[in-house]
Amino acid sequence: MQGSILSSNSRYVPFVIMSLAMLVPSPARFACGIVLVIELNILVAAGTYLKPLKIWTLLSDYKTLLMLVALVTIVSIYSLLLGAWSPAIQMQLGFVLYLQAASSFIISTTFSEDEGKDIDKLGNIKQSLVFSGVALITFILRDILGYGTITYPTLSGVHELIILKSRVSAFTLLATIPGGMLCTAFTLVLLALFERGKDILSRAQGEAKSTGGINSTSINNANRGDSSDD
Amino acid sequence: MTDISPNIISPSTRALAKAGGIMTLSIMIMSALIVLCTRLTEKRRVEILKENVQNIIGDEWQVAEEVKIHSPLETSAVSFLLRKEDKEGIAVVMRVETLYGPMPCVYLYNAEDGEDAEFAGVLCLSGTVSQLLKDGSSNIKYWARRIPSIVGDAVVGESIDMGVRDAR
Repeated sequence: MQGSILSSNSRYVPFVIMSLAMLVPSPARFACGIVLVIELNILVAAGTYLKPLKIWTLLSDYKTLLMLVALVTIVSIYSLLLGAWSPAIQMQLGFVLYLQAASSFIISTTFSEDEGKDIDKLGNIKQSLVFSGVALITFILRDILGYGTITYPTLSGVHELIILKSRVSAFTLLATIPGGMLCTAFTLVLLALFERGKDILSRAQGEAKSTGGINSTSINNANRGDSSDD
Repeated sequence: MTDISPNIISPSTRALAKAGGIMTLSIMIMSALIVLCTRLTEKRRVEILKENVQNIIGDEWQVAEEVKIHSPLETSAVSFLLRKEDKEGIAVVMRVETLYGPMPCVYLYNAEDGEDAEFAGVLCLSGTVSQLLKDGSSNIKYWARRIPSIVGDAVVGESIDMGVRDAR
């Protein structure tokens, strides 16, 4: 399993989890995507930087509970501030804002399996930013193809920038929730292919370093090693 | 008289009490923050919603003050009093689950104009999807029938206190 897309150092599994919490249930508008991505990064940063504080050592069995309560409080305050800025988006998103706080993506970045081990702060932030990029691309594609617009949040609501005046009506499916699942599945397949390609390349480079040069044998060995792991 | 030693509480009990105290205090502080944010943002949220609703309904009706809905739907709906010459009506902004995800839908209700509320549009949404929702969504039609029983009867000239009418 080492090096496969299901291994612990692959991004694939956390991205699948986060997609189900963020990309599928939310409306297909880029404005909603911006709001959700900002919230995701706030939660990851909060979980990553609050965890090492000394106060948790005083809390014994309560620290997990209090951390979760703190994350939900952050989401509640974020939702209230969003309501003061753009209530239309807050009404659209509703419970989707709270789904992220409860997702195992956030929990896994906040709590390490081994209590004595430090959280990889930079790794968490990097993973969150990469997923944010993937999420924003998905939202903008769904907005353009499904609604024919690009939307962004403004002080008085949502501003629509009309991109496609006439569209293929079949693409309206991408604006729906089932269309969102299709789009998310497609994105995850592309991600899986990318991760696998990266893994093959890194093995080939590893083989080349150990044998002293890159040749077709080392690439074949990397492919064989990859398929035997699965 | 026997002196009571201050060390009768074991260290583990003391640590547990300390942890419990910190936990309780933290939850109280977080709750206070949420209440504070709610109070600070409530007014602005209502003002922006009023503007958005006015944009949807046009110049025919004038959006006046917010009307409280005394029902569990208060968490996902906001209602406003509407005025037109000597008539009054209610505008309700409600989060409705549609095929395109949750949408903030605006309904107009005036008891003189019919039994059902009228779907006016979706906040900040135009184009094909808006038209598709107007034409075909069963959830939107369902709430158009339900809203009159939720908002109750509006009374002209008195402070509005919406109760829940008998369910249809």
